[in-house]
Amino acid sequence: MKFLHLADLHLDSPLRAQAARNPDMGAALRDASRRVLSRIVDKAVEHRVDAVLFAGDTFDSGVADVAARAALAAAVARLDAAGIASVLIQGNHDALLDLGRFGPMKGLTQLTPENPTLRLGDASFHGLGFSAPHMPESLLPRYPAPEPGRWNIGLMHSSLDGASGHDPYAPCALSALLGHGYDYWALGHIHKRAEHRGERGLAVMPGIPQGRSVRETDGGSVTLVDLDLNGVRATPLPVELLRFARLPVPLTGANDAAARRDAMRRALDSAMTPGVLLAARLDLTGGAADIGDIRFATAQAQDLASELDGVFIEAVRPHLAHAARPDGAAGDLAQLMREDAATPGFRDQARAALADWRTALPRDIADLLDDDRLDALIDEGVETMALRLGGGGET
Amino acid sequence: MRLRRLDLIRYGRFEDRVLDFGEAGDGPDVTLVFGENEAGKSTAFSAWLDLLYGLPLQHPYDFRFSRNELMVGAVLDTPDGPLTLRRTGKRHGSLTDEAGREVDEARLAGLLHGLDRDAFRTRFSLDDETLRRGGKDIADARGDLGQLLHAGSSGLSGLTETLAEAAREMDEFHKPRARKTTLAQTRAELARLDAAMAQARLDPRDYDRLRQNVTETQARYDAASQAQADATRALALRKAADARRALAGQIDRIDTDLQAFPRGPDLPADALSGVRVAAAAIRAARHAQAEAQTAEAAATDALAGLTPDPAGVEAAALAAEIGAAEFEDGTLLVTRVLAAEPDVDKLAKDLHDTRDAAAALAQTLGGPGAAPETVALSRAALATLREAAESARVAARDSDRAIAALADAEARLGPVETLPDGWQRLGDALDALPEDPAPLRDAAAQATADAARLAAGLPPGWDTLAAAGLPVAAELRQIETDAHSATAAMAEARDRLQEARDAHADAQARRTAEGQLGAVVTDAEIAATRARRDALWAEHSARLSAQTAGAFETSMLADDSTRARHAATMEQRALLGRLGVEIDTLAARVARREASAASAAATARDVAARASGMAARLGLPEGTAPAAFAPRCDALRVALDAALAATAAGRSLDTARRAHEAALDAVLAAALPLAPTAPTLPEARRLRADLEASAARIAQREKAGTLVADLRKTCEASGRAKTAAQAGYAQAVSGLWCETLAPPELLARLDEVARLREMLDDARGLARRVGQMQSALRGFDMRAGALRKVLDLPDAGPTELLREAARRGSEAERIQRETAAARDRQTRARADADTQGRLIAAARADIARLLDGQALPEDADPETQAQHLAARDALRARRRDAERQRDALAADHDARALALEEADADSARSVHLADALEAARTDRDAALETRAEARQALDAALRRTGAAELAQTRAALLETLREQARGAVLARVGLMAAQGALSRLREDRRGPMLTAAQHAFATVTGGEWPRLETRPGGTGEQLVGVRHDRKVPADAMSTGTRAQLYLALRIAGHADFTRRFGPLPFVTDDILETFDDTRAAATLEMTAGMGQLGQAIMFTHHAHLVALARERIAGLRVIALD
Repeated sequence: MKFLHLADLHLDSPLRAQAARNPDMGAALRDASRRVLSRIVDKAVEHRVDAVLFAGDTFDSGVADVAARAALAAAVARLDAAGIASVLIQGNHDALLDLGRFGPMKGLTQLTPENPTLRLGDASFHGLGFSAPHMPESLLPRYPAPEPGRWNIGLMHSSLDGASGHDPYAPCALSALLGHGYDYWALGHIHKRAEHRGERGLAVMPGIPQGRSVRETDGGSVTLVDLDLNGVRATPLPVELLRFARLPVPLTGANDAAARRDAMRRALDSAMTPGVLLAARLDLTGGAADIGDIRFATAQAQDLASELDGVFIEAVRPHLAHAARPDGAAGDLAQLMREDAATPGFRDQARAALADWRTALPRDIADLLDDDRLDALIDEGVETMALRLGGGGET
Repeated sequence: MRLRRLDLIRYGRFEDRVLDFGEAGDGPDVTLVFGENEAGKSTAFSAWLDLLYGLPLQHPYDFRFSRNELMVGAVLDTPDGPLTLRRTGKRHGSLTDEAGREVDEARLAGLLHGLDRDAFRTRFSLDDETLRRGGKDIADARGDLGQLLHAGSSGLSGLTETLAEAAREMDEFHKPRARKTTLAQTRAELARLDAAMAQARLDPRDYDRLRQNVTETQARYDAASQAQADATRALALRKAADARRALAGQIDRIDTDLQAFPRGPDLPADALSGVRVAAAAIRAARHAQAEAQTAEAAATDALAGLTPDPAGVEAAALAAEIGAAEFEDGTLLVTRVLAAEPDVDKLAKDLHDTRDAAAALAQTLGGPGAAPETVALSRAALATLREAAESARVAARDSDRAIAALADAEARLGPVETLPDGWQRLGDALDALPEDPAPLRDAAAQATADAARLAAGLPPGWDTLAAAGLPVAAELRQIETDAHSATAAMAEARDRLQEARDAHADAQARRTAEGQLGAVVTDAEIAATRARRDALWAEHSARLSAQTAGAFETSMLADDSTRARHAATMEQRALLGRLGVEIDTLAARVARREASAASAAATARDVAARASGMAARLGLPEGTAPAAFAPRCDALRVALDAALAATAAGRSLDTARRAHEAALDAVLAAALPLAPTAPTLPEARRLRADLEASAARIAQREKAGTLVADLRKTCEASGRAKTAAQAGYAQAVSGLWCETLAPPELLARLDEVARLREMLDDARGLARRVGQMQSALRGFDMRAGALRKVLDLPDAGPTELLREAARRGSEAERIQRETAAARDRQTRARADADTQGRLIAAARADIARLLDGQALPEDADPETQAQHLAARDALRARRRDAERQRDALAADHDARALALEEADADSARSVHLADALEAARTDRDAALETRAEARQALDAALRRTGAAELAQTRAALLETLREQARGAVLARVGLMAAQGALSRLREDRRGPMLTAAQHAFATVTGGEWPRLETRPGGTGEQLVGVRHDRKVPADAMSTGTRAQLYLALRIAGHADFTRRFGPLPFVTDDILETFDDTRAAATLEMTAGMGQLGQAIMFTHHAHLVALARERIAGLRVIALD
């Protein structure tokens, strides 16, 4: 038995990348999620799998654009024509989606509490899926018992043990999952790829096939699974069009533009992959003299990226080391700024000054000025201005 | 930091130029560098900056040396001492020391207090342009005190612009109620995108509507298609009826036309073409027949015009016969005759002349009457004579030369000498005498002295210790390392033990202190009070007396109090518990560390024992540190080596001395028989030299005697050879005309004899050729008689005769060929005319067969008749075709309905039916288009990306806005912080700076502006100068005064920096150019003041300023820049 496992496709969900505004890259990134889906079908056909498993959040919302559904229908039809079954459960994002609303999709089996198992060859696929956007209880007790003498594969959309500060989504202890007796758990929900091996089974969180912002840097693949007498083996297959990366750029000792450029080039080279576009955020670390004016460093990074095929700079962030404080008035000024900014009075003044901005920003990005982010923004603003005023020495 | 020396090694036009600023003395540290314009002042200042900060990529001074070759150096005085540096144009490692070793840039950066190139140039150099620009900054600042102080003191004049730029950026992003800010414009764009997305999104309701539309339009299309089919059928029936009606009329007309044609069967299918072919064949045959007859007549005429030439034919045959005749050697007669005819007479004359010349030469050589054949010897005889004469001449010459050489050798032999016996033994003894042993003696003495020196300081008996064997270096290192490790381990173990004991004691003290802080109630105590209360309650409930009640109450209160205190001391109890655990843990740690310390001490003792043993082996006192082992071991090893070397040197000297004495005795013994008295060693050496010279002369005479004997033998042999050669010559010339000639005389005539021989050979060849020609001409005449007769040319020469025979023969052959050809043409033309006659008859028979059975008139033109009959047959075919069409039109139609339609000939009905069909077709097309539109709308909706693309655009736009907003927020916060901090910074520095600036301003203006004050103005304070008790705002001062105020501020800033961070060299470049002498002198005094704080360097090209500076600045150093 061989199948392809993916989750969190979020069909038609846009990329939150400035790269898409770049004329060259924008064309390459048009319909990114649909093109990734097409790549997934290509991989399934190439590897002659028996089935493709969609472990939830195939769509980004419960009221999908019919055009998006048509894109999935086209992909499923291609798989069906190649003799490959498609098996799907719903996740928290597409929990309310009625896939049968526009008639049956030939070749696609949706696993539900009423129809939790599909038998295909010598394998049984079990799954339940979400029936509401929020499911605070574990779904595991409702999963069928493993069927003796057959490969048992479970599809589950779950936040597993969860993470502090995040709502639980069908939480389930990993140990309980691996002790359920299935040979393979096709998981979904967490966008970072991970494998968890138990005594007799394997649980894989395949990660998001196409990261959508610089906050999603650990996906980019689907998982090819082989089940035979040698056990279960999972292999990630890259499918992403664009890779988001946060690249540290150590600049300590790089006290001229050429050395800074070399360091940026090394960082970008380390992340470039043939055939995959790169949207990078550069995190510059070093002293004030090393980093210099961040606007110049940003322009330098963008100039460098323009010389490289398929590379775009999303942002450049300075991370200043305070160890070496520059002499002279600029150093004194920077020190005074830091001392002033550390006082509660300054923080309150800054909050008040930004109150108008908070209401003026579109709701989608108003989180930029959330209270829990404000202190970090103030610190960064002070350091950035210190750099601009000649933190590397007096001007 | 101070600049002691600047080395312009390869820089600009300079090469190996040194500017030496010397060491700082007690007085002002001021140097004035004087040079004309273009002398290189700016170059030197640029070199100074390049040394500190590196060479820029585009270098202005690479005109003489390329950038890669540029090098500048310096010696800097630093707190750590002098620092020598070099700077090159290398990409990395451009800063080195004098030896080329790379120097860390951080070393320089530290000395420069973090100032970058621009900051250093701004803070620590001044030129006229900077002064003017500074004055303008003062005017732009409108007297604002804070800005003025910063513009002058710290070079932060660009700060205001930077903050204003940040404020601008912020406002460009967002400003309340503004419409053209980035945020406002992006929000508008987002609103547009939201609207477009709402349009583009295909939601389920839209999808259902599109599907319904497709279904309905399909139904309408189906109905319209049916109506169109019905109308089509009705119109087709009507058209069939109309067509059948028309065909019936057509058939009636054909029948009428057929009555005008002859009767008879239909012609065969190929009849018309057959008749045409046969008629054409008849016409062609007749034409060919006429042409054949014409050709026959022409051939007959040609035969009549040709006359044969039999004589020409015979002449050709005879000429051919002569041409074939040949000589025995295969040469053709005709060839030889034609060649001989012009040349035979000339060759006969040449023969006669040659014979006459030969006779004359023979008489010259052999004398009058000598016959050529007698004098002209054969080639073999000539060769023999030449060889014999040459041999006789050479043998006589060799014999003469041998006799002369023998006489010369005999004359050069010298007198005879002899040598005494035993002379060679003296030479052998001298050769065996060895060198003087004096150097060995010196070496032995030196070795002995070295051994004594190296053994000095070693203990008695050191040689015994060394001879017993010295330890190897690794063994010594191991002991030293072990001792060091053991000591360190023991100290560490001791420290760790003490640390653990301290911690343990501390924990115990804390527990004691905690225990003493108050009554800690334990679990056991509350259990006891509770048990007591319960017991008294039991007693009270049994007795119910006032006493038991009181006792119970007391116990109950005590229990409550204990419990309350138990609860209150819960943390204390927990702390004591934790302290107990901690004390136990620390006690265990103390025990472990005691064991570790004991183990370390044992190891140290073991190592100390090994060290004591080693010290004894090396002759060191017990307790000596292991670090001393290796030096002592080395000293023992060196001393032992030296002692052994001294012993060996003494032995070598004794051996050499004995050998020398024995060899000298042998020399004197060998010389004694050869000398008149007992010789000394030098006499023996001279005697040996004399004897060896005599021996050389004897050997040379023996060699010359051998040569004389050889020459004598050679002389005898050459005499014999001469006699034999003379006899051979006499025999060779015996009986010949040259018998009386000597060998040299004969050799002189032999070439003429050979020429005579060649002349006779030529005459013989000519005679043979003339004979052959004459023979050929005679042979031709014998054969050409008949030919001359046929051609009637009795006197013609061979050439003329043969040419005429060829011409006549050729003409006769041409006539023969043409006659034969004309006869052939005549025969073929007759045969052709017969054949054409037969073809005409066959064609006539074919026509008769094709038109058989037709009622035709006699003598009619067969082709015309055939065409007429073919037209008849065509009408008959059209009639049959019309019948078939009528039948075909009836198919697929109802016969009755068709008959009714045929009966109705009203043309309006057909138009009506056609209109009905057109209307149905229009309806169907409309339905089809509607259905296509509906389908297309659905397909397009499903095919398009929906709102995905717009959503992507929106997300990317938002991401950009997020970054822009973030940058603007950072700028906003940074600006707030910078403005506050700047205000504080200015306040902090204001007082001292203002005082220093006032002092400097008063000095540089020669006291004209004695005060600087402040007053409120605008949002802050304004700087005003006081002159003649009048207050003048800084921005109202003249340009020159503003420049001097700027200079004063810079001087104050320099003093401030130097006070806080330390001195750096301050460089000025012709800043006094526009100052009058009074102010220039005052400024020079200020410079002297700066020189008290740190180093001041002034560049100038004004000679009078040099003199002025010398007056004003004590200890001024002047460097002339050529």
